[in-house]
Amino acid sequence: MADLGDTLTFTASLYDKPPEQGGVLTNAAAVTLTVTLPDGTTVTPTVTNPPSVTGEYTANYTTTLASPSGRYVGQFIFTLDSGNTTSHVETFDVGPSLVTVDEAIAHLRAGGIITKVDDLEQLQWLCQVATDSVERDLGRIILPRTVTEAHQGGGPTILLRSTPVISVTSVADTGVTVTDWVLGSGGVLYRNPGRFSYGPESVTVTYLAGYLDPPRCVRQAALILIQNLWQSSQQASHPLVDEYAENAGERPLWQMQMSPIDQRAYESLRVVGVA
Amino acid sequence: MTTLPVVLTALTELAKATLGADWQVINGPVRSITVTKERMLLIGDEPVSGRRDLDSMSLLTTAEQYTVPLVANVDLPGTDQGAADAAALAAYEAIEAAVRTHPDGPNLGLGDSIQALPTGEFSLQRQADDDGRHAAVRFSIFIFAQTT
Repeated sequence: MADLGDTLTFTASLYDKPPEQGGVLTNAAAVTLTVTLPDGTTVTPTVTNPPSVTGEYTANYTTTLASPSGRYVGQFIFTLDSGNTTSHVETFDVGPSLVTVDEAIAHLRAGGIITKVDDLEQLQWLCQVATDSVERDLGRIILPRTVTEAHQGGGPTILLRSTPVISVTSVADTGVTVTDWVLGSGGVLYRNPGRFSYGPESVTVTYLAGYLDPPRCVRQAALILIQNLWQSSQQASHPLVDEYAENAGERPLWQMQMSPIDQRAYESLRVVGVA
Repeated sequence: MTTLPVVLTALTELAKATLGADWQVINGPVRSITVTKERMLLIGDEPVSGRRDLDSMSLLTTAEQYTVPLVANVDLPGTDQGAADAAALAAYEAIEAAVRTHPDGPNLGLGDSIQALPTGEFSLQRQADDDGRHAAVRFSIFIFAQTT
């Protein structure tokens, strides 16, 4: 499991040939590790060569609370004595989710049951999947995060696309930072006085969107989704003993566990689209 | 008081001790717990029907009898129906023998006031679908108990 602030340990085992062909661990003549961050930037943590254990390479990259959330992709490039190269890729999904692994375990009533590292990592992955799924289902950012948008200027107002807006960090009009703006309700940004300069994507707004305190109905939807994702990954189909199998296809399974009130509360947060 | 709770518990413990680590023993219906495995033994997943009568003139002791349903359920990926059948049947036979040949006698280790014996009736259900091959052997244990 990895959260922002954790140290990501990238590991790789180098064999002179595939283990199933009798390969043995060996050291490389040279090795590099390139970690691609979720924002597209790259870093190259130092890899000790030769390693303390033949063929077993590790390298750390430490994230901070300010590090971008998302997928960290680490690629080892090994240069062998023969001059040939081989690579190994390892990834980490890092970042917050609507519910924590502990909350998911409590919802699953799986305290003391889900204890293995692999299972906990799988559950953390499902927490992140559920968060993404709920946000995309609603068409709305729930977890607070910084958004940068470019808008066409020319008028006195700009409608920010990601709501709710918590705060506006900066506004740039044709590349010049401006401070004479007012954030209205519903994500409307007013230029006061005057108007934004005309031009395609001439106004760049950086702001924090989402809910500082995510609605509980949304968190409940995420937990129910996690429950079904987990159960479907852990439970084989049991058609001969499952009394609910016949009705399973009538509604989305997670909705079967939400009361009408919960469902209406959840649906009330859905962004209305324009056909 | 009825002996049903202690009998269910004893059957659960006996099944856990009899079946291997790849079997999951569940006291109740399949959805009574969150995580299930491919191989499950469900104890009392269907209604338990019985009868209790006074067995003395003192109105203090009763004799009850009931049948506990069990099912050895196997759900395997792939296409080998025979493997699923064999696994379910093996579990059924192991539990049936364990009850019948318990070291303390046919009483699940609960004392001489309880008698537990397989009824001898069983059924094999088989199903093949996109998820794999499924087999379930349903059988039952007859319980006769005297209570105070």
